[in-house]
Amino acid sequence: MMEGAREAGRRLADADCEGLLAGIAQGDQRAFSEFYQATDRAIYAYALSLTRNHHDAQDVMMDTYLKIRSAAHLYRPDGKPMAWVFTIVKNLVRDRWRKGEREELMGDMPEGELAIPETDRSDAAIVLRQAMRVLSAEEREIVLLHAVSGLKHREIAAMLERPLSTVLSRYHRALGKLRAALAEEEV
Amino acid sequence: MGRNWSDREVENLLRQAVGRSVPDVYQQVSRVTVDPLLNLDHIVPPPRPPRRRWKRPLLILGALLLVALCVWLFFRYRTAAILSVGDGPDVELSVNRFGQVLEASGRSDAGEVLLTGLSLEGEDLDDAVERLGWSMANAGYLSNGDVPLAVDGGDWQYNREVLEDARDSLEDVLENWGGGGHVVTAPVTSPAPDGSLPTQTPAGTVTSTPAAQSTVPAAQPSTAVPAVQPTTPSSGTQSSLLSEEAAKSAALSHAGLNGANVTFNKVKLDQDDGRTFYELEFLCGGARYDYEVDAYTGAIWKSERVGSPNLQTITAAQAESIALQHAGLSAGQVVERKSELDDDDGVLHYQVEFKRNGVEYEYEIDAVSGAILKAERD
Repeated sequence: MMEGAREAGRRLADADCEGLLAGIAQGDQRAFSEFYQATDRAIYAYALSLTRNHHDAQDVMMDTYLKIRSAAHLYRPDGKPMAWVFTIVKNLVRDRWRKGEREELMGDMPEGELAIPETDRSDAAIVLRQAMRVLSAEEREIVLLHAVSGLKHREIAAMLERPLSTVLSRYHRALGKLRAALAEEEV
Repeated sequence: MGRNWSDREVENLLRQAVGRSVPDVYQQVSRVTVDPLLNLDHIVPPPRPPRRRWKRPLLILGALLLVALCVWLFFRYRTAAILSVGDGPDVELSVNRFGQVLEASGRSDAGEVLLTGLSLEGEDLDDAVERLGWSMANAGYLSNGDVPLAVDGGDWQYNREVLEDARDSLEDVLENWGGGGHVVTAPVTSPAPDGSLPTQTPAGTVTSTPAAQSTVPAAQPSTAVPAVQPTTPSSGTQSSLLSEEAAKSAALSHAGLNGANVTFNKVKLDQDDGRTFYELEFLCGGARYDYEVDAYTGAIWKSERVGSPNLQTITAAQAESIALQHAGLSAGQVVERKSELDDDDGVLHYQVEFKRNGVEYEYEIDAVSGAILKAERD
C-alpha cells in the first residue's frame, strides 16, 4: 500500500489536480504518479460505494486510471477536476453492469466481499462493513464521497444533481445508521 | 449500549477502513501504453460549457438594459406636450419629456414662413423658443401685438413646466428686443370636462415694459382688455382672454337667465391667488347675482344669488322718487342723483343718493316694499 507521506483523508487542492491532469495529458509520468497518490483512496472508496465489493471496485479503479491517462487531454479546466474523475468512475460502473446485462442502474448491487476479512472485528472494519450493508445506494455514495474522497456536501450535491438539503439529510441519516450499527455490534 | 460515536469519529473509521482496503494498482495502470482518446465516449463526461453560471445574471442584466432602453426611447420620441406660439404666425412645437423639440410646424402660412431656415428639431425647448422669438422679432411680429403661448399635453404639471420655460425664453427676447409686445399665456389646467372648478396653475400676462404692473389692470365696465382675441368659453384651454360679453354669457346661462330684464352693475377683470377672472354683478327682477367667471375658460368660480328673480320690485326711479319725496325735494332741485340696487344680509334695497346746496342725502329704500330703511343727511 502506498502510504507515502500522505495522511489518510488529505485531498489535493483542485488547482493542483488540474495541473496534474494537464501534465498527464502531455504524458508526464511524474504528474500521473503524483495524481495517483493523491486520488487512489478517493477513487477506490467511491468505486466501492457503487460496486459493494472489493474485487469489482479494484477493477473499476484500474479502468478509471487508464481512462484518465487516455482522456486527460479532453478535460476542460472548470475548477472541478474530481467531479470529472468521479463521473468517469460512475460511468464505468454503469457501463460494466450494462455490459453484463444487469439492467439495475445501480439501484443496488448485491453485497460482496470486502478487502478486510469478515473475521476482523475492529471498529473500522465494522463501520465499513455496515456501510456496505445497511446504507442505501445513495447514502453509501454520499458518505464515502464526503468522508473519504473529501468532497464537500455542496460539491456532492452538484455531482449527483440533488438538492443540497437532500444530500445533507441523507448524510446525517447515514451516519446515524452507522453509529447505531456500531453501538449494536459492541456487545 | 456502547459509547457515543461522533460523526467525525465515524468518518475517521471509514477512512481507516478504506485505507486498509485500497489496492495498489499503480504499476498496472502506469506501465500500460494507452492511446489518447480521440473523441468523447460515453464514459468521459463532456466538457461543461464554461461560464454557465454567468448566463443567468447576464440575461437578467440584459433584460433590464433592454427595458431601460425601451423606456428611454419612449420618452425620447414621444411627444409629451405641444407648445403653440403666436396667433399669426402660429407655430407649434412638439416637445418630448426631456424638453427637446421633436417637431416644429407652422399652423398657418406665416408660421411656415417663419420656420424656414430654422431647424428647431432636436433643440432644447428654451433655445428653440428663443430662436423662434428672434425670428418673429426680425419679421416684425413682436413690435406691438401680444404673443399668446399655450400648451397642450397629458401631464398638466409638465405642461406647466413647458409653458414657463417657453415664457421665460420669449420674455428674454422681448426684453432685448424692446418693442412693447406682451406674452400672454393661458393657464395650464388639469382636464375638467364638466366645467366644474378646475385646478389652476399660476399664469398671467407678462409685459416687457418695466413700468407695467405684473397684474392686468382692472378694466372699466364694458371696456375690453386691450388687444385680446374674443373666444367662446366652451372650448378647452384658451390662448387668449374671454371678452366681457362672453363672461356675461357664461354667468347668465349659469343663472338660467337670458339677458332680458337683466341689469349688469359690475363687469370687472380681476386677479386673485393666481387666477384671472371676471367679477360680475347683475340684477334680474328681485334678485341680485354675484359671479366670478374664469377669464379664459368661462368656468364659473363663484355664483351667488340673493333674493328671488320672480319677486316684484320697484324700479330705481320709483325708489328715487320715494327718497326725494321724503326729503321734500324734487328731481330738478338736486344734483348728483344716483341709485343702486344692493343687499344687506339678504334685504334687497335701493341705495339712493343726491345732493342739494352742499348737503348730501343718502337713502335706503326696500326694493320690494318701497319702505324707507335708512335716511341720512349731512
